[in-house]
Amino acid sequence: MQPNPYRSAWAAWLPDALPLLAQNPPDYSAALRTFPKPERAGAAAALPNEPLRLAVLTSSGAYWSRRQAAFAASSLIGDSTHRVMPIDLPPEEIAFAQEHFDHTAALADPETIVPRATLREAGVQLTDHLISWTGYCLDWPAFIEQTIPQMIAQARADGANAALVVPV
Amino acid sequence: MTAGLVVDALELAGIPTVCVGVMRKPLEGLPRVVITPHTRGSNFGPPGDRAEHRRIADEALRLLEPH
Repeated sequence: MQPNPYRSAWAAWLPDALPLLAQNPPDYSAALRTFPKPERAGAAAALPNEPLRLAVLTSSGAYWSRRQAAFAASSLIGDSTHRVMPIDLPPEEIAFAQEHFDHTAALADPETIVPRATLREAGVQLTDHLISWTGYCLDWPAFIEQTIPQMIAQARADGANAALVVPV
Repeated sequence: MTAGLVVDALELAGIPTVCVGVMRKPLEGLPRVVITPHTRGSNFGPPGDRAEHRRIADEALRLLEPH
C-alpha cells in the first residue's frame, strides 16, 4: 500500500518539533516553522436555494461538561478528537478545553462563540447538534483522516445545507 | 489553522460555509469569511451585547444568501 505522502511529511516533522513543544514555555514559533500543510482544495459549494438549515461548528474546544470528557488541552500535540452535543444545551453545561484563548467571555455568555439564540432570532433553523473540536491540534493526519469525516457525517445526518464555522 | 481544513472538507462535501473569525491570515482563501473587530473567544462581540452579536450574525448570513 502506498504511504500517504502528507502523513509521511508530518511524521518526519514530529521528532524535531516535540522537544520544542515540550519546552517551558513551548517554542511554538520554532516548532511550527516547518509544520507541513496539505494543499488546500479551495472548493466552494453552491449556496442553497431553500431556507437555511445551519450546522454550527467551532474550534473552541466546547464540550458538554456534565456528560463528556474535556479535550486533552495540555497535550504537546493537542487533541484531534471532536465532540457532538445537543444544540440546545443550557449555557451552564458548556465548558471549553482549549488553552489558547481566555474563556471568560465564552463562559459568561456562550453567544460570543456559538450564537444559537441570535441565529434563531434571525430566523435561521439550526441543526440538532453543536459540533466542536479544539483548535490546538497538531496531529493533522488523525484530524484529516478520522475527525473531519466524522464531523461531516454528523452535519449531513443532521440535514445541514450550510454551516457556520467559528474558529477560536 | 484547523478551521481551514474543516471548511475545505465541508465545501467539498457540498455544504457551503461561512467562517466568523477574529484573525484574517489563517482564514485567507476560504470562500466566505467575516472578520470581526473583537478578541479571540468573543468572535461575535462582548458577552451580553446582543445587538453586536446580531449584526455579525446578519453579516455572516448574508454571505450564505444565493445571489
